[in-house]
Amino acid sequence: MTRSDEPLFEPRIADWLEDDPYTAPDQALDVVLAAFPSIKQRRAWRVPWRVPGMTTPLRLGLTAAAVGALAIGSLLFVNRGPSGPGGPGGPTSSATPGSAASPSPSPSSALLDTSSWPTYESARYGFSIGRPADWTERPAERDWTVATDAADWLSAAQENFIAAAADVRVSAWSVAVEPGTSTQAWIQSYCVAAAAPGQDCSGYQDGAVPVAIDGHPGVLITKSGFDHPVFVLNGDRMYVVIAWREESDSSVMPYGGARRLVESFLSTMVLGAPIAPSAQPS
Amino acid sequence: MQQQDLVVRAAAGDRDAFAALATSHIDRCYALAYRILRDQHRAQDACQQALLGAWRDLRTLRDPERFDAWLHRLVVNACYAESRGTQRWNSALRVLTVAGAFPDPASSVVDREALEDAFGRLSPEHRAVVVLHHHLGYPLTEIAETLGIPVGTARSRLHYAVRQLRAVLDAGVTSAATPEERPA
Repeated sequence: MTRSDEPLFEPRIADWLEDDPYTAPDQALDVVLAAFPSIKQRRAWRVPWRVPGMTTPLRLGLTAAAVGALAIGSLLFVNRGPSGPGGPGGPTSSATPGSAASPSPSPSSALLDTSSWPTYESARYGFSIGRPADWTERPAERDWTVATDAADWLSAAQENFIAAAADVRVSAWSVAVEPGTSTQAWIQSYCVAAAAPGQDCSGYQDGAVPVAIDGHPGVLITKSGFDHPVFVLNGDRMYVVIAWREESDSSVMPYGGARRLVESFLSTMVLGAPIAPSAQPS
Repeated sequence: MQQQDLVVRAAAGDRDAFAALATSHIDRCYALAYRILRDQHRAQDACQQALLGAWRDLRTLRDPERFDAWLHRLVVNACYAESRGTQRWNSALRVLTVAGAFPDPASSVVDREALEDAFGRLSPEHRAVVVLHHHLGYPLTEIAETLGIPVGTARSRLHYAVRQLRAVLDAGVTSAATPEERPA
């Protein structure tokens, strides 16, 4: 056999690949053409948070809801006793599935049974989170930034969790924010970065409901036709968890819908693990 | 009609536009998937999944001019999913069933078997980088952009993959294939 250290080794790879087929079986196109019309197109979730136009009553309402969520979360935190997870700088440990209290003040319905969910520890982003036992994990390969990743739902900078059938993806990450940045302001900048041409950031508040992760208040978007993102600002970091499906998508029906799925993920989540120093404000 | 117009129209729900896109891209999708997966049925599945995913998620594509790269990424991700489903990539000793198909001298056929075997030992992530670089001719920057990974990661994956291919070939690993497994 020819030695592979010859100078032409890499061209040999290209030559070898050239000999593979170039034409798809006719059946492949037939399947695609027959199937795609029945598939509902997913709307870009680029949801708007209309900060300038937000009405005072709405702002007050959301503030009150957030305070309520914080109070409930704090109460749950206290009830968990000294073994419970801490905040920034606190103990990080053991995200025992099921040990974290249900975070949402207004959960959509009973959450999924997470007692058998393995726990994934994200050293990069400082949290732990459970995922269904038959899902796979795709760890983030780099730090997430608004500029690079906001418009990319398949970003390799996200901690990704993928259903066994590869038809549902839940992603989570966190990013440092400039001191003094509000949740609303950050989401506004995120929305602008993620928006497709022609899309604006209006109407987002229509689908925002208060939730909490590990006792920290945030918002969940449940707007019809959109994916289900959750934003929680904790200290100087924004934590984001997204179920990349709309509520009625058939792929999330086994989980009782996208909201129930993402809320179940949230119920297993613990914040406060140390963050690698490489993450910069975004 | 130019591709960019088709993409915009398809994103707006125009089924004829998407059918035209699918028809014009399916061979390229299949070729890419086949080279990564080394299996015609799984390549067909991955190709179909990628195109159906493209229809479903087309509205998330911000720049219609990036459709090709975006679609390639969907194909690669579908290949990853296919690979996870079977996990055959790291254990199968693939056998060429195309004896006589290559007009090359016998030694070249052996090389091809060796390459097939060595390639089958790479992870899907490493295979994808090799195929994008050596088949599609993508530079590292475009590979990184297509896969959503840092350029350094793309470079290291390519370097590792080529080194592994060389190592396996140099070690004559093809001898591990039993006579029964070899084509007549």
